[in-house]
Amino acid sequence: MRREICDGGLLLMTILFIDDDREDVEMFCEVIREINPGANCIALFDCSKLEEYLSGIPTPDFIFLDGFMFPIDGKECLKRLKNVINSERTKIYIHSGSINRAEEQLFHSLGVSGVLRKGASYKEIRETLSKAMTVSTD
Amino acid sequence: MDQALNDAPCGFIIFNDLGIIREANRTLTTLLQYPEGSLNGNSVEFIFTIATKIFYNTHLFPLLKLEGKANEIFFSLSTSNKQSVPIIANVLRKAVGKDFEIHCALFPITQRNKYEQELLAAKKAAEDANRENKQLLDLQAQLEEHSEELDEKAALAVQAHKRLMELNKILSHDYQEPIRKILVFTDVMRSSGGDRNLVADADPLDKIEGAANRLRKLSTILEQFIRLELPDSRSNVDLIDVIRTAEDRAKSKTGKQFNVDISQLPVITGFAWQLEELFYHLIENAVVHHTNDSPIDISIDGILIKENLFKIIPDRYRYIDYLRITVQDNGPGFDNQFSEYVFDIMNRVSTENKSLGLGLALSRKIVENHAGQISIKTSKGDGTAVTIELPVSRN
Repeated sequence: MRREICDGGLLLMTILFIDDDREDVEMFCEVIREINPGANCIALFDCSKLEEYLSGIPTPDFIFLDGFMFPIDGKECLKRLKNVINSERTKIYIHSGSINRAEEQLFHSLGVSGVLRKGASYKEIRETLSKAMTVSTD
Repeated sequence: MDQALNDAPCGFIIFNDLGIIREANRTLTTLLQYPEGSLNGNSVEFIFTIATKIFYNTHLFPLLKLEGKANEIFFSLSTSNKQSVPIIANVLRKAVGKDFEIHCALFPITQRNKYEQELLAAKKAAEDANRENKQLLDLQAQLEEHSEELDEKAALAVQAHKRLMELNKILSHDYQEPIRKILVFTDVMRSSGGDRNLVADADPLDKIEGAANRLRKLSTILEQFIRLELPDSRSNVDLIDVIRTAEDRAKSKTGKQFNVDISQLPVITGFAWQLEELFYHLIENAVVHHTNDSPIDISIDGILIKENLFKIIPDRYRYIDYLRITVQDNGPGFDNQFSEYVFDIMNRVSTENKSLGLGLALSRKIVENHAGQISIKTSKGDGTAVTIELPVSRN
């Protein structure tokens, strides 16, 4: 995976959250910046103009996709992402507040790098995001 | 008796008013298996069956006295060994001196009798078939009735399953989200003494309060959904009354002024309070989503159509009267690709307003409780038309 190292030894990366919960996105970006101050955290709040949006931003290193969104749900959004994203370059995680086993399997079958549950505390949020980014950059 | 008459191709007998036989030809004696001439001087009742005796004395003889003749009379004679021989007779009563004689030409009709038996058998078979057909029709009617019941129950089962999935979605996802938010912000406050804030310009306490309010709204939604699952009784519902009440409620709730034009709508059989809820949600939806400055116009029209009662069982048809109602507004509309999606609970097409995605989900549930259908046709900028089809009368 291509990575650029900035002066402070930080990884320069672009992280895209696709999530209709603006409050969540704000929190997650705050945590991401604490984990890696070199991270460029951006957000898309629904999938209706996904392709257009992706063409106007740097290629994301990680995409955290909420599994439950409206009006285009996570599954549909993931299918569209897979059509335009290079999976070798960009890791896609499903990132939802709740998800059952069947849904998890379905998302795995659609080719995601992982299915993550949104943390219910600051510590959980940080650990979840940090681990996802660490595993993927190894 | 001359030779020709004696051997005529029919029986011939002459007797007087007292019934004493003067002469019987050979054809008749042979038919009845008596020796030639042996019947002469005997009572004619000797060759009558019991039924013929009664018929002769009560009907035929009085008729002969009155009319002097009778043709194509049917009765039976009895042979020497008491076998019954069906006969058609032409009978004449004529004066001979001071007395009267009765002359009978007798035609055995054993073949006809056989055909008649066949006819009777055929008639009986037809009656049996008719009776069986009636039983079949009764069974068919019962089957039809049971099919309708089965179809209605199957439709309810499908709806119940759908509803269960929706409730599962609320409990497993929509309920979990505000709980997680409360936990996150509580944790933030506890771990940093309230100084640390992951969401800029927002008080974590406000966030906790917001999440708790959302939980409260979700509880209300669940309560309303469960209420619609409970048994209810149908009554005659004046739709115009119901819509006017719903309109007043929507005005009171939204604080906005608007007019609802209603065309003539019939009285239908339905669940009165549910129908009021249906129109309340549809009107409120039109008002809440009306974001431009133009006056809010809502029109409600209805036409009678024929619709198949059967919704689930394939190849079954019974067309009954349905009322197709269209609720049209002049709001901003939305992308028609979401016209199915908006009927699922908690589904919204806009992130801009605080809608819970409840009104259309409840509307669909109410319409389905009435064995009806609901659909939406919309496009951005062109308003929205909600079409409802409800049976006019269904018990």
